[in-house]
Amino acid sequence: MSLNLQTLIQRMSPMTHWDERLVVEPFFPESVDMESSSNSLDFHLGNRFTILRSRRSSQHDPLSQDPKRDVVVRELFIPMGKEFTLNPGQIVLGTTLEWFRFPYDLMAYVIGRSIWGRRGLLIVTASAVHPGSSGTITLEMSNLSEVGLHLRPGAAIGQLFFNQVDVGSNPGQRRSPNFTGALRPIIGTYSLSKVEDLLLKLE
Amino acid sequence: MPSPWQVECLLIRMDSLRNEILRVKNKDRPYTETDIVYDSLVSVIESRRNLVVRAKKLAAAKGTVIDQAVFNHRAKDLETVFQVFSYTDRVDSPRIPFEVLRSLSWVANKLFGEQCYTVVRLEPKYNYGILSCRREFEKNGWGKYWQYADEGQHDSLSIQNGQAPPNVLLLGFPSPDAGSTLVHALAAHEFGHEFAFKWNNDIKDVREAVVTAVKGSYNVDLQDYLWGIITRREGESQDDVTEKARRYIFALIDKITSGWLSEIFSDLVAARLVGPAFLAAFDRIIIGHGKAGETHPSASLRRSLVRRYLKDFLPEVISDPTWAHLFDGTSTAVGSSDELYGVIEKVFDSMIIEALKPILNRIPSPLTRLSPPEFAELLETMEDHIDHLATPSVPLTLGDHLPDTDKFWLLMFAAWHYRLSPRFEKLREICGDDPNSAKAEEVLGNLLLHALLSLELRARWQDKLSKGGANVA
Repeated sequence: MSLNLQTLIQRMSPMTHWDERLVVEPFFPESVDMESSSNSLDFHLGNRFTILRSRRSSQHDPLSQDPKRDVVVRELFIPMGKEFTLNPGQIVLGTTLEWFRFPYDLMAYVIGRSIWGRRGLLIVTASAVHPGSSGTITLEMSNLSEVGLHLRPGAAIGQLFFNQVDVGSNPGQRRSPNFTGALRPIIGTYSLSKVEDLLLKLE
Repeated sequence: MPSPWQVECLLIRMDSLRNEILRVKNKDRPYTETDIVYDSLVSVIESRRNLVVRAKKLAAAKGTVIDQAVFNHRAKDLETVFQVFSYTDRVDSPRIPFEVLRSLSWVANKLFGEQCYTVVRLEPKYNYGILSCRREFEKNGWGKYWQYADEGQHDSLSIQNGQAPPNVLLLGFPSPDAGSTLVHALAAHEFGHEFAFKWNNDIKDVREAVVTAVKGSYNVDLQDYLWGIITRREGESQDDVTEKARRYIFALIDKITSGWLSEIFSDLVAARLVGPAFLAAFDRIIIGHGKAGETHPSASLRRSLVRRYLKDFLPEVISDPTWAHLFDGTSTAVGSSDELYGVIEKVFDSMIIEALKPILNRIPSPLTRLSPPEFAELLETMEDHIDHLATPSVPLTLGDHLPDTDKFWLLMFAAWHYRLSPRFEKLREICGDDPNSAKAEEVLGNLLLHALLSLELRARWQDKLSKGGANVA
């Protein structure tokens, strides 16, 4: 079930029990139109960016266990009031300005705002935020237009659509430690599942 | 006299340093506050270069070479410019916690009552440091060069015509611990050095009292020490030698006392701002007893004085068992094997806290702003947030009874309290039971860093709202 704005605001109240409490920080109540029929919460672009860099070898291999064969990144911090230009065809990892704390019965989908989408900004991959997640959300953004696109920290580039999850009798699932409490955009390391490991070894 | 070749070399070095400063200035950097320093350094180099060129022309007209003293003076200037420049390099590494910079500037502005920018650099040495760039310029006789080179480039820095640029406080964070947000509570100590400078006249009185006390025990305790360092030259009488050694020792006492006093004062300022969290962060940076030196007292003396001050100043706060192990140390205040240091330690141990108290009392402590029950409740709510991986800045925004700058230090305090309390185990478990707690501490540091950023954004948002500048629904 998708949650409406009023319910989300209720979930953010300090009176709400931690089992159900959603925390969004910083959150500016003045910026929310409570009369709106919106079912989403806008998020804003944060200050940290990670750019995938070219390297001497012409490919990178995410499955390789050798870090030297994986992608090389460059981190950038863009302060408020400054901008970052996303070039055509370029992919960049960014973060939300907000720190989100999800209870175990809520998950959300990250959707880019159409106003940005129509100008070529695509926020597409890994778009689901799992129940119990906490931290800033890493955004994978690419520019599909033919011209550069200015991105400014603080801009409302996307929104979260929240859904209630049936937790059944097991409300306290463990979080993934790798992505818990992240502040910077995380590229992550690939860990092979047992099935993948088997499949990849087949000849 | 310097040869024309040496003069040429000096001019070339000046040019290359100027170009290097401009290269660094033109790098793509998040914050441009250090531009003030770069511009001013370039002005110094250009003025020194002009002086050398003029002296060279004058000497050539007289058929001679440039005066050695002038040459030496300019060469020394060049070295000093390079040194100051080297402090302001390495301020753009993505490893720097830029999130905290504006909050630090904001806190510094409120604490010192003047506009200043705080910039962080990564120190190759394992220590924290602070440098007031404008003061460094004044110390070197370059005060008039502390200026914007091109106002058009600094429109974001609120330039007002004819006004000197604000000061730039350069905070050094140890490079290996750049990402350890909790340890940055030591910034409170570094700000203490700025207070020490600001109230130098009052501290001078304390210094004189300490020096008098140390010199008073000189005859009693330092005779053996004195004999140990005396080297008698041929033709010198015993009295001459003794007097020479006495003068040397007294000068050394002055120097050591000044250095130690600044450190101890800054420690106690930090104790007022972040309470026992200072001791916790200090233990991270200085492992063990830390030997005394001419500029810094031993870590044992520092810990002992801070502990004693906290027991007196914040008895309710430190009665909390979470901090107990920070006060359990068996180290004694006085323990240097060097006799001179030992004598100074004794004097510091016996009188320094009482002597500094009236000066320290001018700095309001965020930890005494609330009544003990209110404070305990706030801390509990902040820690509840951390327990649930929510930023601890949220409870600070409820109600409006605390100044924003106090909240900055309260967050540091709360994060350390959480780190040392049994509740940290829960976070460690969430973070995958890492045996040395690295992941859990990283997450706690991220929560703290985001909370500091968030607090500052909220304050600026409120400011904008009050001025009617924000476009809100």
